Amino acid sequence: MQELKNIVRDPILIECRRLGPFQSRAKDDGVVLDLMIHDLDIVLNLVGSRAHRISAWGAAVSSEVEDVANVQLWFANGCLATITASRATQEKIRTLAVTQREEYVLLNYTDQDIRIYRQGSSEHRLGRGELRYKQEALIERIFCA
Amino acid sequence: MVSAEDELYSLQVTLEIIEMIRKDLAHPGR
Repeated sequence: MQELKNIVRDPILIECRRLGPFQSRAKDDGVVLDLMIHDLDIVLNLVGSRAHRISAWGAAVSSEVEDVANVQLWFANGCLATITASRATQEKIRTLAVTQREEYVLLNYTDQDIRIYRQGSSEHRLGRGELRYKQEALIERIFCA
Repeated sequence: MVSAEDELYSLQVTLEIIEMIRKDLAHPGR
């Protein structure tokens, strides 16, 4: 988290995904208290501004409360955050991505890997009757102990 | 270091989100 605070300066868009399969131990609390609360803390800490608009959506899948939730937060400083939490997904995913003016920061909690993409470019080319796509970026990788 | 005020704000936002979702689940499509 401290490493992330050093990298994130002026976020425009933050996308958090905390998804995984259902575990029966967690059926009393919804997925917001079970999983999403960690990302809410992180996002509010990173942005350092108050949310002036919040929208939230949830669905019950394997329990009586929300097992899937998606939240959007609009901040007074212009940043937008979208947070998705699920315990109805058959793959464990823990990522946080930050778009800022000159960088795209992708943090994968599962392998403690941070990738920073800079000077990204992409283009479509039509050659020999087929459409080709080319994408380039400088990537810096940081491993957190 | 997170201040007590920030922690309280985070808790308020979390509770607001839970309330919004629970209302939606109780009355879907409203």
